[in-house]
Amino acid sequence: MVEFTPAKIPPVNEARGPGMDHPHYPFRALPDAPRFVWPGGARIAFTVTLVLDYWELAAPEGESPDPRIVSPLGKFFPDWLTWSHRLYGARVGVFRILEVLDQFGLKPSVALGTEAAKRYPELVDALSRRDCCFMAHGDFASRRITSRAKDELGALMAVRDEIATVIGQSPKGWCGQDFNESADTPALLTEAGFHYTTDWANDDRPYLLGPYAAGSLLALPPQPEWNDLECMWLRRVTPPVWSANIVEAFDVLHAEGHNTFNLTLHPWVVGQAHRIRYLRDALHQILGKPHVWRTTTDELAEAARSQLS
Amino acid sequence: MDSDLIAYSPIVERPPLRWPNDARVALWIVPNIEHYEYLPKYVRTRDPWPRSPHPDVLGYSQRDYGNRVGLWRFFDLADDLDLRCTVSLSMTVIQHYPAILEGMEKRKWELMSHGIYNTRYHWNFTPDEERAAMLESREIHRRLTGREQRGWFSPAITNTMNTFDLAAECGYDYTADLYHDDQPFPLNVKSGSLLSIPYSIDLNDVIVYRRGEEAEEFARQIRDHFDTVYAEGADQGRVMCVALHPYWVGQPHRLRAIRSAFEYILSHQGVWQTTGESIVDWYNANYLPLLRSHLAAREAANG
Repeated sequence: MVEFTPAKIPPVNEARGPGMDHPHYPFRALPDAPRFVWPGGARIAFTVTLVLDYWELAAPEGESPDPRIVSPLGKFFPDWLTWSHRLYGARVGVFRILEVLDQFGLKPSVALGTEAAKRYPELVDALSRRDCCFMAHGDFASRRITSRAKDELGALMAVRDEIATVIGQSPKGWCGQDFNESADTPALLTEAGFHYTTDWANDDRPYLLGPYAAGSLLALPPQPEWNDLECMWLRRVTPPVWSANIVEAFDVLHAEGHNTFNLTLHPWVVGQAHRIRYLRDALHQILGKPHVWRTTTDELAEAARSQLS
Repeated sequence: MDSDLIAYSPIVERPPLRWPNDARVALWIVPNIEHYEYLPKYVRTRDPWPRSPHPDVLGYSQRDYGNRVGLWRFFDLADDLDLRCTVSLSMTVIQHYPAILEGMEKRKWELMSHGIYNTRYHWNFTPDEERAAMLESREIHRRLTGREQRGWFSPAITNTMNTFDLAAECGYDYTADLYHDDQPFPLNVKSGSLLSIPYSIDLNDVIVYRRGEEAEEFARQIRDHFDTVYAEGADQGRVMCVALHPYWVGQPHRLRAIRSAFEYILSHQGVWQTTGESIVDWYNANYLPLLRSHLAAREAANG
C-alpha cells in the first residue's frame, strides 16, 4: 500500500518536472485525445448507469460513509430518514426509471452492490431478464473501499466473486462507491481481473490507467456533472435545470464527436415522483439526435480498448 | 448493524391497492403546527437555537408567525378548497393556544403527535424518556379532544432505535417517520402493530426553502409529483403527502402558488383527499391481509 502522510511544514524548493503528480496516466490535452470511431459511424456513445446499493442505518466501526450523504437535519443517530429515503429506490423509484428506459429501448448498466444483490433478488432477476450489463459496486453504500486498507485486494476480490455468483460471470467493470479509491485501487483492480473502472471524472473519452503489474485499466468517464445524486441531491440543482444541463452537454459532446455520454442514475433520487419526468424529457431530446450509439459500459469498454494502444 | 424493520417489497409486485371509490391517489396534506420554546428547558444532542445565546428572537418569532398569522391564512385556503388535514402537532400548541385547537376541531382535522415541543429532540432519549413523551402526547390529546390519538411523528424527525416499538406499545396505529414507499406499509415491531404512512421530505416546504427554492418551484414539484402518482394510481393506489409549515406557506408571497397547486390536483377525478387515520383504517380493513399473504409467499420463495 502507498503510505503517504502530509508534512506539517510546507515544502520549499521541491523538484518538479512536467507531468502528472501520480503514476496512473500521462498528461494529455483535449486536442491530442483519441478520435474514437463508434459502431455504425455514431458520433457519440451513450450509456446509462443504474446504481443499486444498500445504505445501512449504521455502518460498522471503522467504516466511513461519504460525509456528504447526511440528513437535512444534520448528522445524528439513528438517521432513519436517510435510511428509509434510500430504501425508496429499490421499492418504488427503480421501476419508474426502468419504465422510462424501456420507452427508449435503453439497457442500463447496473452498478450492483453485493448487499443490494442479497436483499433485492426480484429486482436483480428483473434486471437480468432485461439482459443488463452489471458492474461491481462494492458491498454497502455506507462503506467505502478506503476503509479496507488492510486488505483492499481481498475486499475487491470478495465483491467480484459475490457479483459473479449473482450474474453468472465475473464483472468486467468496477464502479467505486462514491468514486472512492486509494492510491492503489487501479492497480489492485487490474490484479483482481477488472477491465475498466468508472471512478475517474477527468475526461469525456475513455483512456488507460497504468500499465500496472497485472496490466492496464480502462477509465470510462462517469461525468458526475449530470449524475442525479451529485447534481440534484448534493448540489440541489432543480430537476428542470438538471434536464436542461443534460441536453446542453449532450449537444456539445455530440457536435464535438468521438465522445462518450454516461448518465448515472440513483433510483432514490431521480426515481422520486416529482423528478422522473425530467429524465424522460432529457432522453426524449438527446435521443432524437442521429448517430447515437446506445450501448452498455461493457460493450463501450471493449470498443474503446480496441482503439487504444 | 442493520434493521429488519421493513420487509423488502417491490411496489410493482404487490397486490393492487384500491382506495375508496377507486380513487388513484390518497392526498394527505400535513401542516406542521409547532411550538418552538423561547428558552428551551432541555438540550442534549442538538442546540435548537445555535445562532445565538438563547433566546434567538429571529428564529423564535419567524416560527411563531405561523401560529399568529400564517395558519389563519392557511385555514382560509383550506376552507375554500374544503381540505381536511392531518396536523403534525407539537402537543403543547393546544395547551398554549386554545384558539388553534378550536380552529382545527371545527374543521375536523386529525391531530397527529409531533412530540411535546419542536425544540425537544428525541435523539439519545432513553426508552423511558421516549415512552413518556408518547404517553404524555396521548394524554394531552385525550384530555383536550376526548379522542384517542392515532399517529406518531417524532418531533423534528428526531428518533431512536426504539421509536417504532414504543409507538406500537403506546397504542399508536401509524408513524410518519419513514420515507421508503408510496404506500402505507406494516413495520416489524416487537409487539402490537404499526403502519408507516409515507410523509414527505421531498414535497416539504421547509426543505425546499432551505435549498433556496420558492413557492412557484414548490408548486411545480407538487404538480409534477401528482401527475406521476395519478397515472400510476390507475393500477396501484398511492399516497401523496404534501408537508407544509404555516410559518412558511402562510407568508403572503407564497399562498397563491400553493393554492393553485392544490386546485390543480383537486380538479382531477379520483383524488381521495383524506387524513392519516382514514388511510390507516381503509388499509387495515381492505388491504393489509392481502399484503401479509403476499409477503409470506415472497418470504417462502426467497427465504
